Amino acid sequence: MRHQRMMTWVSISGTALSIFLVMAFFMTEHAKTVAMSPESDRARIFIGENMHVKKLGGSNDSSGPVSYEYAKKFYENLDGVERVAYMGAHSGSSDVNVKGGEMVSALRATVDDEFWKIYDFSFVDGRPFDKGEYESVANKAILTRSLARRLFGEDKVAGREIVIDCMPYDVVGVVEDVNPLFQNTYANIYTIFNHRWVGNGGDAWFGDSRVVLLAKDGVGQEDLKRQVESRYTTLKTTLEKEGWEPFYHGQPYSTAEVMLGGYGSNNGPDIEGHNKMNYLIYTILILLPAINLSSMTRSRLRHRVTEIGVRRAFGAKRGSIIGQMFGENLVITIAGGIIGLVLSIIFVWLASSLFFNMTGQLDPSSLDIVNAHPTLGMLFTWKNFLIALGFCFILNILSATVPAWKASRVEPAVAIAKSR
Amino acid sequence: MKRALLTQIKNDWRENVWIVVELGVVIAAIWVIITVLYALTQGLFRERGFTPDDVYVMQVRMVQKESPEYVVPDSTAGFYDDRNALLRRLAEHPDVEAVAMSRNAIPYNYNFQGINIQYSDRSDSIDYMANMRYGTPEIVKVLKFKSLTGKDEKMLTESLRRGEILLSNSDTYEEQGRDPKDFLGKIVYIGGDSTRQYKVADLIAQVRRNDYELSWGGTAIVPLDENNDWASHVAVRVKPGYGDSFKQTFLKDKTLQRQRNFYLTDIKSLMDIREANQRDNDTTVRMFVVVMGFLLVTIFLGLLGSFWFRMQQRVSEIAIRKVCGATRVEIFRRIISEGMTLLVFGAVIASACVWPFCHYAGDMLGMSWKEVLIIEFVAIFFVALSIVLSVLYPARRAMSIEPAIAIKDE
Repeated sequence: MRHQRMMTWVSISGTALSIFLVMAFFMTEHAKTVAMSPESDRARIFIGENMHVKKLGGSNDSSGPVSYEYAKKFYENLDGVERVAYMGAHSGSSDVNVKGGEMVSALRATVDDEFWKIYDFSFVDGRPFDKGEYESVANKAILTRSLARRLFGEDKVAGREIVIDCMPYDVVGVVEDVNPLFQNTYANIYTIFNHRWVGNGGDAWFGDSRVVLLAKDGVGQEDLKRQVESRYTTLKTTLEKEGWEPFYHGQPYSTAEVMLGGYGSNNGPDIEGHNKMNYLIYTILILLPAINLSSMTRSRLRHRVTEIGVRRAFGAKRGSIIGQMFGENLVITIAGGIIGLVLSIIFVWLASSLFFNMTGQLDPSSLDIVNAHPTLGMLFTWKNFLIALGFCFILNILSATVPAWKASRVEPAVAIAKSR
Repeated sequence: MKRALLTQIKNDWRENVWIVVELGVVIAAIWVIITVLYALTQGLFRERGFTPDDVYVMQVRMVQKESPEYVVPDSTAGFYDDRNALLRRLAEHPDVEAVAMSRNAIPYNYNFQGINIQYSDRSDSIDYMANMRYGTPEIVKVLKFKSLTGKDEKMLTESLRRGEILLSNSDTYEEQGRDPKDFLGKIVYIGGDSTRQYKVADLIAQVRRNDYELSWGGTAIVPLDENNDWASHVAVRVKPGYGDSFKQTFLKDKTLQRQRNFYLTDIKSLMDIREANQRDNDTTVRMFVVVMGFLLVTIFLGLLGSFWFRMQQRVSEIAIRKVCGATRVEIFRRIISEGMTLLVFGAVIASACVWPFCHYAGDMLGMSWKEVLIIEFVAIFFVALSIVLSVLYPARRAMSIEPAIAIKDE
């Protein structure tokens, strides 16, 4: 490799570029679903949120967030569920201020007391909501550290009073800020979900609820889906008598489905389609450089035809020639792979939001959300390292197989004669 | 020379087949990427229909009765008097050019309040589908809607003040053989409801939901009554030069924010809303550009590696040519010709792979075969550029060796 410096560096650069791009794609996807505080239990968390009904024999087709009443019908007391939390379907901006102070626009989520037991928020001060506060829909609030500092200039503010949308609230706790990539938990301020609100006098099944289910260990999504679908079937019989037909779209959804699936209230997530598209992208990003690298490897080996011929003349077996070629190529691939992996981590950490829609939201409410990017902790994972290594092996096999096989077929006499 | 070149390529066919396949695959990939990029960005080259610079958007909110801050209103006052007083104060601010209320009139959101508009005499079975955008008459000045008949902003504003509506051009309506200009001066029903009838005052350029989106029907600008209608948003056009500072000015001046139970909040510049709304499109376009750049760099490195080796092998051949009187330009031209000949073979492979699927581009992306062909030539041009760049350095290096030394080494 030292004798062919130029070729070696070109090969390493090509490999680094390929691993960089494929890992940038992979890590961006992985960062959206990685399990970290406050969503450490993502593998066991499932979401139910929407309702879709159609008027029988008519064209009236309606869908939207499910009401609290119907959410309880579908998701309460399911077998294999450890905890159920109810929260508002939408987080919206609210005006927050300390009495007489500057008004700040903050993203507000409404949640219940169970929410804090499912998600592992880190409390800087105070405590989560309790059952009594939830039942009475008390004016209590939990702030993120950055909002507490902006309003009060400090973060130990439990027990103080603030004004949200012109209504007084008591601050009961302060939590660490949440990365906007954690869509189920991201907000600047949390208040109590109003489970008493029954909508604006419209259909009983539509409202503003979202259900978070924490499954017991070993309980799969399919178990939960089966039970919820069965409840839909039961409901269908009742609703059909009233002239409506409900549609089941595969709820409750997993974190991957929520983050990657691209779905609405009248259709379910298509995680399989999403994965297929990803596999196609990975294939293109690996296959094209592999063709190039293969071409470079062959060029390098043609320089060494004589050496291979001499080794064959001294009894080297074809297998050992192929093994050596793979080994040498693997050194280049690993070197390029490490450079590519480091570059991709830096790239995704600093600039991913410029090239990827990280939150998957089509119409985000603020620039904070569109500028969300993963932390280094979300990128430095064993999974990412092993996947990069896997891509290196695939690239090595694809780029070295043909040249190594051809090199092993060299006839010693012909090779040595050529060199003269 | 051409025959000799082809013979030379044929003699080294094992090596060349690889390069040709490589070129074919890369041309095809870049071709597809440019096609998708072209389809994604078509909207950017169309007229926008409004001007988003120097515009701020705020939400209108009310203090709830349960709040200790609630002020019991004067029984003789109109419900919206306080709101209108607040907006008048805003309009009188020296930095402000125009103020309007909006209900879905402000672009850069994915709302589509689609409704059909038809002639009041129901003389046509084909309706005009419009995204309903409601605003007070000043909305014309705030967003600077563009008349397609030459009317100025003042005339359009007056039309809305008289209770007339504005319609836009519409691809979907025109594709059905209709001309939206025929609506001018006519009375129309909205949603087939004869109680919602309006006179069409003018035709404006379409107000799309964002810069990337192509047509989703037309646009109807419908006037709001400031004394009777609720509006969720207020839009403000500030004077040129105050675009960056107005947010701070607004936040510092409490009298601009609140009038008893009505208050304005969540101020954002329309350009920021635009950036957030279009980030999905922006990132997709950037990503495709990066992937295309990556493919070009990869092919450049691949070709550099291949030609590096070739040039090293052909140092003596180049030396003999130089001894026989060939100039550097002639030798370089020959090397480039070899690369271009291989490119032609690669292009044939790419064409054979891509053309059978071109009707998808027509069906899904609305492109003609001429556009697809032009894009193919652009893709070939990019790859040709990569070839020239990758050949340049090894060829120069090979040509710089003195003929005597090169032949002696041989």
